[in-house]
Amino acid sequence: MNTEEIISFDNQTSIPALFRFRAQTLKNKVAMREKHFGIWRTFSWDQYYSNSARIGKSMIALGLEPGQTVSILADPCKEWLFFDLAAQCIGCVSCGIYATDSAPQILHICEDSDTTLLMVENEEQLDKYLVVEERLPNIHTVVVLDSTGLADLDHPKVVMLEQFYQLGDEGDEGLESEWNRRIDNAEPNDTVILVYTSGTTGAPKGAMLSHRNIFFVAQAFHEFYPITAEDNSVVYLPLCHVTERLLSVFLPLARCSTINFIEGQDTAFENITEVSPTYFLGVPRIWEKMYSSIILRMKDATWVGRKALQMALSVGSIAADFEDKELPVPVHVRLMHRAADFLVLNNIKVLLGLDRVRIGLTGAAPISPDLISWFRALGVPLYEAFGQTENVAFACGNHRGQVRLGTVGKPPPGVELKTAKDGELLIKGPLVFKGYYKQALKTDETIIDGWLYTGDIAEIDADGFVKIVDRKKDIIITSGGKNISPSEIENQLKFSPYVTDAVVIGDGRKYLTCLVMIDNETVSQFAQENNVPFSDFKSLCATAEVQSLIKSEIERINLSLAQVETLKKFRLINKQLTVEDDELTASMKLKRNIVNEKYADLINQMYS
Amino acid sequence: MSKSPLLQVRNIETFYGPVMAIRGISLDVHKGKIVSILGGNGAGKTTILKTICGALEPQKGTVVFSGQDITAWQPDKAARQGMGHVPEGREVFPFLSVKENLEMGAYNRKGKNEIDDDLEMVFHYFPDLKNKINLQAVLLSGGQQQMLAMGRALMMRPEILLLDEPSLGLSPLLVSEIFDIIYRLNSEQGVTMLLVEQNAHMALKVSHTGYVIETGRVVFDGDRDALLNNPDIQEFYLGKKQAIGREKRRWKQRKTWR
Repeated sequence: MNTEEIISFDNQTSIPALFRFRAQTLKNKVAMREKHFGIWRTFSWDQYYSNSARIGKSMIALGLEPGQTVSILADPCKEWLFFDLAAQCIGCVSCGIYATDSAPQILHICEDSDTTLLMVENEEQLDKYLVVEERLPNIHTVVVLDSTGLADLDHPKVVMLEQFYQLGDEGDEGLESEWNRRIDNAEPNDTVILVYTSGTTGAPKGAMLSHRNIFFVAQAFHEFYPITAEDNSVVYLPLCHVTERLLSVFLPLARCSTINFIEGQDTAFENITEVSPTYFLGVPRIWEKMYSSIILRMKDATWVGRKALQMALSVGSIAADFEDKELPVPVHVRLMHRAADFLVLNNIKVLLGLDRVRIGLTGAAPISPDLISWFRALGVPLYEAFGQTENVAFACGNHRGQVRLGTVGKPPPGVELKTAKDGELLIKGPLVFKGYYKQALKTDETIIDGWLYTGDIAEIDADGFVKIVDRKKDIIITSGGKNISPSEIENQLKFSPYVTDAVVIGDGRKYLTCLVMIDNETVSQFAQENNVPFSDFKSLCATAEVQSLIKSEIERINLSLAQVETLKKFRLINKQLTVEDDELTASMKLKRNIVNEKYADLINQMYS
Repeated sequence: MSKSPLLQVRNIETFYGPVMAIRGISLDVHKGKIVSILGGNGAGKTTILKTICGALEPQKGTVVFSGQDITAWQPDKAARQGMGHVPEGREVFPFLSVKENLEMGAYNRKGKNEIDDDLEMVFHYFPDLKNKINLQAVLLSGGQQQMLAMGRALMMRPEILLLDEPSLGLSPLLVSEIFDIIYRLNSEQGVTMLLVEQNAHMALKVSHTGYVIETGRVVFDGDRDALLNNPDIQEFYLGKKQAIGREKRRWKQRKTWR
């Protein structure tokens, strides 16, 4: 494929131009919904654009030049997008920061990205900035969205959103023409967003993505998962994560679909039920949670109820098999499936808010194939896809008619995949990012001759389906010299409703062991049902019954593993972890290296 | 702590209709100790006390009191066993006099002399009541009614006193007076107490150990120092905030209980 081929949507070759075009043509069509005091309020494309334009003009008025960086430190909300697109339209680079990041992490990102303007959500986020303020001389303006509690704040750099809007509103006509001029000036190969990698290894690095990278992926995504203007999705993951950005900012721009913001992390599941999205991407943890919630409910159900679900699921799974292969579904199967859906399956889907889902996606972390089958049997077309920040979150995926469980599917047209000698997956195509910001050395290590080195070990089968084995650096080599992929074992463990996450250990050791993080909710309920006395989380972990519960889960999994892969011992992490802890990534995954360090004592116990 | 506890609650679950108010609570009260149960509104604190004394019947779990399984016993039987319950909101007999109210506390006891001694003991701790001995209870102030309710429970010489929010609706001065008496009753008379409180500050002053309850489950337990030093308790129950500059403030989304 010619790498210079022009990629466009409706003849627009840059994100700003497309954004302006959408506002002009879609006008009052709903672009987004946000819940405000319990009521869903809508915002049109016109409002979306005009608010971004006001912000963009204010930025120009403040003297922001093309190529400078604007950082956004907030939970997902409509203003997040206004700032994001405003910055992109005026030729700046937009960079998202996780709202859960600590002051030192924010310092690193702002410093590394040369941020000049910072948008913060509220007092809490502002406080983090103020801690490191002195070390960030490049930031000349900090815009605060929510001024609650800040009435008496007098800081030369801090402005409230309302004041900030005025800067642009009070400007002359020149500001308006400058705004349009900058939109026209956008070049497809300009860096438009900077996405910091989650940094399970080393300090986060800023990946530079261009208009062209994003347009290509938006187009490729559409080939596999056609989205229309009628579609609805829910924004619930951090927008600084490239996957959510693709789904909630760039795809709606490309396909005119509507997005819905959740109120907060605690109400995510309620909001999903209310919105009932038609396409939905979940990290494995979300799917696991949904699955566990149904399994838990079924324990309290009657025998008849449980049997009915079992039968309905088996009918559903037969029907799903036909659909996967794009074969016509036999009449009797179709009838039974209708009945099962009407009587059982649909109720569960409504309960989870998945009844309208046409496209369900999972990615960002490995998932157990059993979990995918379960959802497919339920009638939720769940596809596993693969992507990284460095390739705009989408390099290959299972899709309708092309499903192979346990793989991450095939690449879309225009993407070349191959494996290196050591099994590392390499990717080529217009989706490969420009490089890491100010890190030429790291970039040269990652992109060689146009091939992106993913750091993942993969196998590509004869039909072209890609199976991700593990992160290259995570592969365990036991002292016996066996290569073992820990994530496969961990996935099987995570499929248990009692296990939230696990880390398999054994590099350079005689046998494998693991650290397990239990699910507080399900294990508490288990203890309660079985009359196991406990008080707090720590004592829950310490009870003999919980220990043997997890032991039996591990033994069950051991049966399906090769002898060298079996887990000989385990320990529970007896601390309830939250995103604010170092041990977890923003998507609630355990960080292997930090867990290895922090729990060295526990690990050594298992080998002494 | 090696001795078996005076009151041992294991995994109780109590329902109000379809609603599970407490979800598997276990706790121990050792003889001579004050144990407090902390938690917000609707956490299930009162339900725990009502389940222990028999006013509510648990769906599951056991209550063992001085070595005897008293789960779901009628409250009067539990009371005869030595369980004194001072309910939330006092619940004194409004039209009986102070003296009659106190005598009601000893209704199942024999031995006039001993009862008279205890009456003196109650008046010793609550001198206010002595001044109003013939007044109808309804005419007492809230604080005096609280004292009367506690006095009434003491009159049965309980092995354990279950106190449900003794600080409810009282002025700060009265609250500290009541807690002072609670402390003295425990240290001088050796009365074992299980104390339910919203006022974590006062409760932690007097108690030896404590449990924190949230939505029907224990989320944290430990001795007094462990509770006082827990950052979550400091922030969410004791309302402590460092008063140094804006940037030193601590922001937390969630309690983690560790």
